[in-house]
Amino acid sequence: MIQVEQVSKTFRSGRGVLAALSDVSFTVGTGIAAAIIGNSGSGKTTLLNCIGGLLRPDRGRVTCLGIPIHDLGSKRLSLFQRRRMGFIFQQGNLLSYYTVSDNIALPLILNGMGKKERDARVALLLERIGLSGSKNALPNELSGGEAQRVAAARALAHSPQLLLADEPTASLDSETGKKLVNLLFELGREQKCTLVLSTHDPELLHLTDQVFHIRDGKLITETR
Amino acid sequence: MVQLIQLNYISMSIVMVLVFGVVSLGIACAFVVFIFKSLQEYGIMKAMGVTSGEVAFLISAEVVLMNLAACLAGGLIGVAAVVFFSHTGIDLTPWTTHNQYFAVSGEIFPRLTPYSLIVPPGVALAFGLASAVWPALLVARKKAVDILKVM
Repeated sequence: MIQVEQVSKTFRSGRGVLAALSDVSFTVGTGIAAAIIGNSGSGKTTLLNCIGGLLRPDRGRVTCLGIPIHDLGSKRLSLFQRRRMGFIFQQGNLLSYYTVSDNIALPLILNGMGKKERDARVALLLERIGLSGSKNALPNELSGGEAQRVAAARALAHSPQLLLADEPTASLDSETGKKLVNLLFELGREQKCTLVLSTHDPELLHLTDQVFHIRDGKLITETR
Repeated sequence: MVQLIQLNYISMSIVMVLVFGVVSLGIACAFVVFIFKSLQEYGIMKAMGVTSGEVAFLISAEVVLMNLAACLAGGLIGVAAVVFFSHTGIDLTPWTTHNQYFAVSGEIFPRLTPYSLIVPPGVALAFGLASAVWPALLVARKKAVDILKVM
């Protein structure tokens, strides 16, 4: 379960103070697929980063799987992210010097999985994302859709309880985007993973159980 | 004669320190560039739950390993050159025969000393590690989201 309670976040820059989030509160149940929808600059990424512990809110509380994320020390937060969370970024953000299989294997290595078990898990995920033939390819040899599929496999490799995806289809055409999101939901549901994704594509919403509409850093509507 | 040899030894030592210093600074700059080129990778790792300490260790380990590989390669080439020239010698007579103050033979036979084998790699390693401290601390302290935003 994810509980976001009265979360606010501001950024200071040369252009002044920007309120990215203002008193945002909501709850996402365990195993639920939720979407945060809003225009560019509405605060979706900031909210997702606060949920994932990549940003600390100025005010409010974020509790993920019973752990107060906003309050965790740096090391404990890293260990929490490593063991129980998966992230997918807009651009995939694969490690460019690592092959496809090494990218997928990284969270498994970080979680101390043995080589034999790890290889089997990577092979299974590669098959599921349809990239068994590209296991030794480097990220720059992949198309945008393929790179995002690898990012999805990497994020789910260690069977996290929470998956956060920040506009995973933003850099893809609509057809490839739909396939990716279907794959993401399929894999996520198999693993009974709570999934929160941000998007500005309304076509993806029918796949989710819960939708949060955000505008100018404020939660406007919540649909179940 | 003894004084002349001592003077030569000291002047050569000064030249060596200057050469090592310049080369080591070059190595240090190369490492700083390498680390900053990989900044995004470290940001991704941090977002995946790699701790700041582990990132700092990773950067230091990369610097040490690259240094050791370079020292090994350089050392082997150097040893091979010394072994070769210790048999054939290096003929400097074209530059010494007309010098009335040069009383020793114009042919030199280099030899390996523990000093020449250990000190240069040691200096390079020390400079390499020193160069890694600032970027390692910077990467370790920065939040993943800030590193990824910069890129």
